[in-house]
Amino acid sequence: MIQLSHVSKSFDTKKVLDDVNWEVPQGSIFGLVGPNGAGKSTILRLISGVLLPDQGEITIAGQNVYNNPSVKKKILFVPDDPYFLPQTTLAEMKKFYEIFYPSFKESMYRKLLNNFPINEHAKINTFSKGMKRQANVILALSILPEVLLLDEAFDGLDPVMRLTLKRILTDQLLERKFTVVISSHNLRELEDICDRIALISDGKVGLNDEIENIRALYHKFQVGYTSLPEHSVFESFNPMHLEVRGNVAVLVVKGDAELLKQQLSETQPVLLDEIPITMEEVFVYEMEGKGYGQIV
Amino acid sequence: MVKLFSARIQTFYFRFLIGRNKRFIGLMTATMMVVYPVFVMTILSLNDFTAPNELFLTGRILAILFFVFFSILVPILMFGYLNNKRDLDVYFSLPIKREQMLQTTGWAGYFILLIPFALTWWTGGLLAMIYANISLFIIFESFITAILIGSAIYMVVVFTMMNTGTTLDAFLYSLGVHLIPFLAYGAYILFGYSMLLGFSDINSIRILNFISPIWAVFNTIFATSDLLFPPMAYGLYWVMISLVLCAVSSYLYTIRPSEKAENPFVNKRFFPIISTTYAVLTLIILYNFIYNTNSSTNLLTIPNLIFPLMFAGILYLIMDTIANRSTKNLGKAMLSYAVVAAITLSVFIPSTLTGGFGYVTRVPKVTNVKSVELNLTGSSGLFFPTNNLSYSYNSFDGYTVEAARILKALQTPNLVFDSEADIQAIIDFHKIILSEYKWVDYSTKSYPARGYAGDVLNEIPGYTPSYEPFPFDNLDYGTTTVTFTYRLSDGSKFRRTYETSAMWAKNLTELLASETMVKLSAPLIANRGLFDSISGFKLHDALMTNVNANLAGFNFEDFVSEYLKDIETIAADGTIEPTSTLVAYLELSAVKKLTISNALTVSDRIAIDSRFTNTLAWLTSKGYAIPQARYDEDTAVLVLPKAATKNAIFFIANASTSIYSYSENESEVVYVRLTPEQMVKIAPYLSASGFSETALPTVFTVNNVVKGDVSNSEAYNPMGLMNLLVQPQHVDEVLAIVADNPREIGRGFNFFTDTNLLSGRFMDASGRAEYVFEGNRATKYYDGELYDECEYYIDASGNHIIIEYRSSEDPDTKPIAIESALWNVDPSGESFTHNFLGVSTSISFEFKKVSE
Repeated sequence: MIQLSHVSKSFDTKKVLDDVNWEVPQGSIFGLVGPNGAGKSTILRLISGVLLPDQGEITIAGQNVYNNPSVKKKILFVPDDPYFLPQTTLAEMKKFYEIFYPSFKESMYRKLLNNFPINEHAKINTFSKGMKRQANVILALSILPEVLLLDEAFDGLDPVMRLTLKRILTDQLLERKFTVVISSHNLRELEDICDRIALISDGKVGLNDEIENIRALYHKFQVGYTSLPEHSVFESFNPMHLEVRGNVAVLVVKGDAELLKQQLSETQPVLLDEIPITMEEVFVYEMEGKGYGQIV
Repeated sequence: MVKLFSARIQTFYFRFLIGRNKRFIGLMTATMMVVYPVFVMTILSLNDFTAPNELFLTGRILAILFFVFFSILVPILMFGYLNNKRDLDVYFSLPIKREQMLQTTGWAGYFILLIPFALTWWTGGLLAMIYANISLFIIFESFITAILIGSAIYMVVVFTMMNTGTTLDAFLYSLGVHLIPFLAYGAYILFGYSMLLGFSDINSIRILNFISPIWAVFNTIFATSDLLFPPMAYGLYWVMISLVLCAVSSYLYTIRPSEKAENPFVNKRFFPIISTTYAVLTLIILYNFIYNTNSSTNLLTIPNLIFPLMFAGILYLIMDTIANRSTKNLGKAMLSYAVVAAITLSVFIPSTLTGGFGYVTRVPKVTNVKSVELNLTGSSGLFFPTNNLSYSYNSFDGYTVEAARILKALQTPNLVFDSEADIQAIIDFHKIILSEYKWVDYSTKSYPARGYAGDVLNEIPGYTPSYEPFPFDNLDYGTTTVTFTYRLSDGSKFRRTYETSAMWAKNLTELLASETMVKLSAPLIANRGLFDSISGFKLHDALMTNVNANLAGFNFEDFVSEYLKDIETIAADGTIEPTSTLVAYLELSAVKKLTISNALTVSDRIAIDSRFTNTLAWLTSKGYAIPQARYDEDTAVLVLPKAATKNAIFFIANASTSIYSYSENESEVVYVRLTPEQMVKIAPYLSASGFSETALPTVFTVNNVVKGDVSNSEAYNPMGLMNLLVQPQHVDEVLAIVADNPREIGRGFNFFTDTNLLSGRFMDASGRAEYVFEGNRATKYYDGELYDECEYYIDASGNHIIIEYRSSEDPDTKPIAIESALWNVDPSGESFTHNFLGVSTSISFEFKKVSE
């Protein structure tokens, strides 16, 4: 439904996105991950029409987004640093959004307000960072957007609030079908809620698949030996990550689980276990492979 | 542009913005109310003001001042979100077209501005109608004009904000853009005046009405007499500019990259244009300023160039540093400035060296000229005919702009000449001026027109005048600023202004018989269309000794018709010598209603001489008799020219009073007093107009020697001295009539006993006795105490002062030492040098005791 076709974007001399082609199916909950400065927020801003791509096109249901109110009224972008009108209250911000979003639902607003400890008549500039996030989420979800773009939505929320937000999102997703794109560094949170993940690095979208498929693709094995084989044995598996402690090796590899197990068995281990791998590890090992985060 | 007009305001958001800014609207309203109606009413209630109009004017000026200030502030506040990336994440993601967002926010901002202004203006306006009689139309017209022009002030700021990325830069560059028209105009004027001889800025300041909305809003509301068009026309012009700015801003808003927010500039072309403009204008202004502060006429001296180049360069670099928030770009900026300076100087210097690429020396050909207009300011020294206007109106009540406009048309009329002969005479004069200035390389600093007999020019080796000299020399000090405005055959206008020496203008005497010049003596005829009514007709004899006020049924238009026919004939004849006889004066009054309670009244005396045959015949046919003159004793003198006299009073009749300065070589005039019987005989031989190549006897009468009287009610009676020349063909007859009259010698023109000459204080050598002369009183102080009130008078020679004192105890008989700016005493104490215009004479004092 959301389609980026040959999208490039630069800021001054720095190319942030380079010929990106990416699609977000309707109704999916897409997690967008990547290292700092990879372009996650840029993509969200491009989709919401805040930025104009230098090249390429961004469409939603086949319609160009930029400066197109008929499309934009279905989109809501929740930035990482929430903005509110100066010296305003939540109630006044509600009026602001009601002007632009005919889909704004009072009942949803009230329901959400009950879930968060916020006084809608208090000045928002007296709120803490987390409360501001909550206020932002209340407004965003009350609009009932067809496309919800959340930039670092969970950051700054305490665990209880994170859980509450996830539950509210999930409830909404059960009630109606809408598309969510969430950018975050917290893969753990994304794992719980997203059904698809995309990894952005070097201006391109790399890993881009359903979480189940990713889980099916990435495996972590712990292999123990009485006598550790040659290093080349492990290299033949083309591991994303290899860690050796004594006679025990931990490998992270991509491929078919059964086939990999069989191949590892042929190395005569005394111990062979597949350990669950988290998305965070997948992300870290993928980025390590690209040289990100390495200490020189 | 199409999108601009199709984008509609989002009314809900519009209302939302107004509602959110309620308190700000209240604050602005309170501010403007305080400076206008509240301030005015407070002053009025505390003082017994006789001029409430001035007070309301002050209030209106303050209101407009704040309106301008808020016109700059409000858009910066309304569009402040453009300068914050976080804000833009919300605003640019909203489902509203960018053009519509711009329109809605822009209109909301202007509405927020208009509410307080309207409330203030109309509250003050209603009070002004009640307390100062200001008309509703004026209040309405100025209100509409202000809001129309204000839209442009507002839109300039919006446009600037579309190009900048921070609030600071938006504010700075908004002010900067608004300042550019003034700098540009200043550079233009300075350059013109410094470098281009003949440069004329008459009315050029009007151009500011079209390039600066801030200037326009003040000028169109408070200086309407200067306007070419009605004020609202300027409003409509600026609305058009606003629409253009709005269209451009709309485009820039649509493509505005939000990632550039919080950077000084969003549009990378904006700053170079501004900084280059400032550098160029600063360079030109400073160059001309430095050039003017030193006496050298050399354009290319190092001091002339160094400071302007350096200052403009530093300004450029500072602007660059502020724009980049860093000095890292200074090297590149210096290079850019070097290019800018090089281009500027490569245009500027050749243009000055070539006299503005031929501007200075250009004179049109007579065949290309349809008409030429002469405009004289400070007509000191020129011999053109004067008029006998007097006027009155109340300047503190009602609308005086129109009065000023009418008086300007009457007193400093534009002299338009359209006959080929007249145009040629003027072109010849123009060429003479250039020929004289050529001796000083057409410099605007050498002042060759000033000084005695062209001081500057006479010192130039090989100098020979290009003009034919007058037969008299007391126009030497006279300088006049003359503006030539040629209207060419192709429809264009060509204007030059010069400081001219009166001595250069001899060839202009050919114009004396032209229609334009003759009409100069009768401004109410030439400008009768400006008045609502003309009446109060009276006929006077030639010397204003008698009056016939019985002119029942006088039809002024019929009179004018005959008068104009006569002027045509006079012009066709072309005689400039004073051969006509002054026959009569028609006195009349013209009235122009200004407000309900205020009117301008102008009176004039139109001279009718023997050339006006149709006019005289018409008067006779209507039975309007010219009254018989009634002469009294000692009311007329005939001043006789000495051999080889150089005094202008013997050559020009009824000319500008300024020519009656003393000739360098003539401190005394010889005159005879005329008896009434002699006046009757001589009157038919007197002329009130004309120029003679030879000196002629001239008559002064007491009726034509009236001091000016200026009062606070703006009534002004400027009649000065007026001489009547004896017609050259009748000189012998007149001399024969006065052959036996005793010749008297006088100094100045104090022929009649009530003319006072002395003023000053005189102290004796002991320092104890002091005489204070004022008017015809002399007050004596002794040891600082008032001692005696004396009267004094000066006898006809002007040399002998007779002091009549009354006190019997006065020990002094004459002052011995004198301290006075007017007098210097020689060591003997017997004679005194009078410093009146540098003429020396002997003075004696006589003390005569009269009875107490």
